Amino acid sequence: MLQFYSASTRIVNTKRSVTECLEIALGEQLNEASLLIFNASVGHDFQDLIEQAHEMAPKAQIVAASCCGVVGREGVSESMKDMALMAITGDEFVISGSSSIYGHNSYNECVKMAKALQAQKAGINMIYFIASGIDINNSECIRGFESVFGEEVTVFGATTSDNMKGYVSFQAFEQKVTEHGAFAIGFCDPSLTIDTQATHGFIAIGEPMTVTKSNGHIIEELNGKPAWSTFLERLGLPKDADCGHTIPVGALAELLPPEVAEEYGNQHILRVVTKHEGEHIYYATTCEEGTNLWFTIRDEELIFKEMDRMVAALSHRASGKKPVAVFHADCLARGRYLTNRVLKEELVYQMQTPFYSDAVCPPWLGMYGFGEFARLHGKNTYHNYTTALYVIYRK
Amino acid sequence: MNTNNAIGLQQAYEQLQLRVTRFSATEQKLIAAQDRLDHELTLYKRLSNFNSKALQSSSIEHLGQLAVETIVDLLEVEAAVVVLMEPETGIRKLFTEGLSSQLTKSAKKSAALFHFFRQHPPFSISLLEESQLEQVTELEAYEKGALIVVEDALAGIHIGCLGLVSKLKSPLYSSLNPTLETLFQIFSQQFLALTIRLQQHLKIQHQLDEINKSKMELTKLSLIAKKINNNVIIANNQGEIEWVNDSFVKTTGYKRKEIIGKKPKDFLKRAPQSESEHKRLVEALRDKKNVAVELINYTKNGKPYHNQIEIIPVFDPFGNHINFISVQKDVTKEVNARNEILRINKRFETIAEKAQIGIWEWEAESQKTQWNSILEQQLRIPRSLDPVDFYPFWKNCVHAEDHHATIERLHNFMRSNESHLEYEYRIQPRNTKETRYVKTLLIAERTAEGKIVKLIGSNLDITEKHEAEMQLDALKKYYESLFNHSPSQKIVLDKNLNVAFINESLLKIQPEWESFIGKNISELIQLRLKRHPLKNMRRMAQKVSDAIDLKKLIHYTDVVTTPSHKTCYRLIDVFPYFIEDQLQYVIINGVDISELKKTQKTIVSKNQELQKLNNELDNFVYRVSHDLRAPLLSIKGLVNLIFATENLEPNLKEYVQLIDFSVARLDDTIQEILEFSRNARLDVTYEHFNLKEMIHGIFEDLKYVSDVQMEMTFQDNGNAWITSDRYRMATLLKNIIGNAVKYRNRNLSNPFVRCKLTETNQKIIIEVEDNGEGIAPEHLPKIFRMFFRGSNSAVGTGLGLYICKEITQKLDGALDVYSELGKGSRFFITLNKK
Repeated sequence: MLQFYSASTRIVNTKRSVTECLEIALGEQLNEASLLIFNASVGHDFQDLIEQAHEMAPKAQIVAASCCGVVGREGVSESMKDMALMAITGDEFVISGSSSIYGHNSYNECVKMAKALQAQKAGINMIYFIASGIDINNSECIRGFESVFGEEVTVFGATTSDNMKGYVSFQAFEQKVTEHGAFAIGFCDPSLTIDTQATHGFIAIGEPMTVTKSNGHIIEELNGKPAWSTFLERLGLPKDADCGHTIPVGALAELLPPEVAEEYGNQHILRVVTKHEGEHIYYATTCEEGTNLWFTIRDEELIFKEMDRMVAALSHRASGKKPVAVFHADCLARGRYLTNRVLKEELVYQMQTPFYSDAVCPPWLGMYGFGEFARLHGKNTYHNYTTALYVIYRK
Repeated sequence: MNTNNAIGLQQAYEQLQLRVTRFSATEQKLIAAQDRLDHELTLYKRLSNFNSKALQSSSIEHLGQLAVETIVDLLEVEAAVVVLMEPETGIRKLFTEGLSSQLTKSAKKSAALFHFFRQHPPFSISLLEESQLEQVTELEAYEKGALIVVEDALAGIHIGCLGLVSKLKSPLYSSLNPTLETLFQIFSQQFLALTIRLQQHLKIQHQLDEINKSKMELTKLSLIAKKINNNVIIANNQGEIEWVNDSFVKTTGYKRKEIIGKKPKDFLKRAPQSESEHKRLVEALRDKKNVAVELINYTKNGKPYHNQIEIIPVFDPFGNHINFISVQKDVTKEVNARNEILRINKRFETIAEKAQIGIWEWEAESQKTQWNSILEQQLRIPRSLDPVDFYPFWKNCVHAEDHHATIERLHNFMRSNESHLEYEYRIQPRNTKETRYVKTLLIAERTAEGKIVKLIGSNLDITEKHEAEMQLDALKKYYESLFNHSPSQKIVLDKNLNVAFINESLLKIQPEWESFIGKNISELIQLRLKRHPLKNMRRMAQKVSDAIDLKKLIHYTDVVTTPSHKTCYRLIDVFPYFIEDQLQYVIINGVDISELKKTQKTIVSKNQELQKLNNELDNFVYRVSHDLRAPLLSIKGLVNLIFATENLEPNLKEYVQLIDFSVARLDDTIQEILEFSRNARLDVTYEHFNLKEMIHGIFEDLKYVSDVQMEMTFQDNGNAWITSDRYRMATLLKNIIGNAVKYRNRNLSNPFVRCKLTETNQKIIIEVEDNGEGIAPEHLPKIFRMFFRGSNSAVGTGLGLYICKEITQKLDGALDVYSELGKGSRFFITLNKK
């Protein structure tokens, strides 16, 4: 039976940071750890991270993801030196990974990972998936996992990020660090169940741009014009602006079907651009020609309101049960760059308290990354600019 | 709406869209500016956090590490380096964060790195480019850097702070902006101030520690002086005692008031033999020098004690002599022990001398060796040999064949942590070709770390012992060979009944026994061969046990099957050997009696056949004799009838008399043959009867045979009853007494036959003596042969004495004769008592 323990710190030295996380999370049970899941800001040295963790808990498997900041039961922090840990004891899980995943091979790599999971243990009922957030087709990733496990299996997780520069992100598994990798943890503890939901609180504005030429997740033309120039022009940004400049203001929105929109609390689902090559925009999912893309603006009131709605919905569905652990993925654009610190801390506090049990926050592992996986209208869905919660309960 | 209006409206709408989007972007920029301010606040908090932590820091190392991590955090850079230099003291310290451990290690030794910092002017921030960083090997991986050097001339401290970003990660980090520059400036100033403060604090702390340490040492010394078992005296520069400890009072027996203010010589008496030592003491005190002497002093009660004295003159900081401190120790016990050791050493030396043990002692510090006269003789050491040259000399004495191994063993021992080593080797004493065997025992005195201080060695010449051992070994091999080559099979058990030896003869037929050497016989009983107990093993163990219990040789036989599947019969002797009731060993000796067994079997079979033939012959003789006698008796009856006929012609009468005589002879012969046959055929039947009566009956039958009256007597010890075969005894005595009558000396007037019965514990002896013709000496050995007749004077068959001999043998007795021709004979019948 899996047991969860968490900790988060902000220490400059990577090895000391790992030591503190492990000591806080596990204390005397360090030797019993079987899986360590780290989220760490890009300022940390990931090689040092896995070496130190391995030295301290040699029996544990170690995975790590880079991010722009972390959220733990201790609160939120966004700097170059944040670290958060979810430590797990028990052996009802399996891990697989890919050290080379891109937009063009997202489906195949995820099929391979899914099959590798399936080959190791039966009874996998949820998959924690972490992948590079730059040049990846997330809808294809979901399709890959579902082709092996079916649509019922819950895919939850995030895409790794840097400090919103869109330059590089890191993933670590099997004692190696990658820049375009991914890992999947298949949980097969039959006593566990998961509930997921995501929310953003943005409003689409103005007239949409129409995708007039695309290839999978690469948008080549918008409104019949070269895509990247058109994108920058609509944002009023200079021609030499890069993704780091567009991410805070350039959330693109796709229209949702009415029945899905009702559940989502919003008519649109958002997408982020983390890479461009010349005029080609690397979109986060497959984008068919003819798709309309709206620009959006952030509505703080809506963000809080939708957050309350989501947490209330999760609590309602839990019927009084308290979670054994909460995984959490937040869009980095909702962090330091879009929400000031005070608001953000309030938002996180508001998000965590309903899950408290006897005034104690459950083990919590959150990150500010590029994107989030959560179910929407019964289907595994990729989101951007959202807060996504993955609440694990004991049946 | 016309076309123009529509186009105008469309353009206006697009402009509006653009403005809305841009408004959103502008709003976002405002938020970003707010966020930057928020972030700046965070950075100031980080700086403040550094100050708080640094104030609690208690070591430069901790402060340096805190500083270097703060630079990374504050400037949000990839790595940072801080150097701390004190030109006056030459102290240089380096702290890094984010640098690989290899680079950190190299940087600590890099003079170029420290020089790099010194190049930059103090108190201004330098933004470094790749080309500048490339000047230092440890920094060449970095593309951008921000450096500031701060210094405090008064404190003599220079500090350099450097934040670094590599080319690889450059896009992730922001450039240094004015806010960060200000923060970096503030940080470096604060760090300098905190470092100076900490250094001063540490110096004060160190001084305080020193003072505390001194105070504690003083307290300890005072306590030691008071409580120590040694005697402590503090005297003024005139030698007058100012203070003594309790131990001094206790040792000397003087009270403090008898001591204070006096000089030790005024009351502490010394023995005359301490005068020379005392003189040395006085001279040293006069010259105000440290001195250590050993005197024999007397206590107040007059009891002598050995006083080990050390006197230290004490001077003030200006060099004025102010006190004497004397530490004294009653070493009487130690001196006695030392004398005892010397006495024991002397005894050991004598023992070594008597036992012809060569002894040497080597001191590591002086590299000198000392040796005794026995070693001198053993190695032929010249008198002129320098003590430091002993080792090469000894090496030359070691036999060439043992040289390498002996030296290596010595060296290994010296390198080890062992306390002693014992080994044997050969030597060739100097200028001789003689080889001697020596046994050496080395004892090492080592320091706590195992380093050798002293080596003491003994050399015992064991040449004779070695030769004796060699001879013994050869002898052992010789006897083993004898045992091995013995045709009989041998096993030797030691006193604990372990199998000590098995010879080859045994192993030939029982090869599996080879593995039994060393095993106990009780263990062998338990052994199984193909799940069956070993054949004969249990029996052998039992016989060994019996032989030990009875303490005598035991025989038994067994049968084994040889590896060539032949059956081998063995006669086995188990011989336990004791010395004073203590079992020494058991020899089990097996002899192959297969051939003997075969022969025995043949003999038994032949015997049986012979017995059968004998029986048949006896039957034949009996039947023939019996059948012959019947017609003979008829003839005899007819002859008697003829004699009874009247008027028998003389010639015919003579013929009939001749017939009668011949028939009587033939009847005698047949009767004797029948006697012989009876003796052979019939079993011996023992009964109790009166011999006297039997002999008198015989006398009665024979008294008319002689033409003269013969003296016939019987003598016994009052008991004439014996147990024997009555019939055979009668036949035997009839024959012997009959012969005495038959061969009487016809020329004598007093012929006699005398019988005598004597008894011992075991035997019955019947003697028959006569004074008859006697037997010629040449006939004596033959008289018991069948059909031998020693005399022509009487007519006989030659079977009588043969039958007598056969009868005595049948009765498990003996028949002996002593005879002298012309004088008579003495027959002795000797029978075992029944």
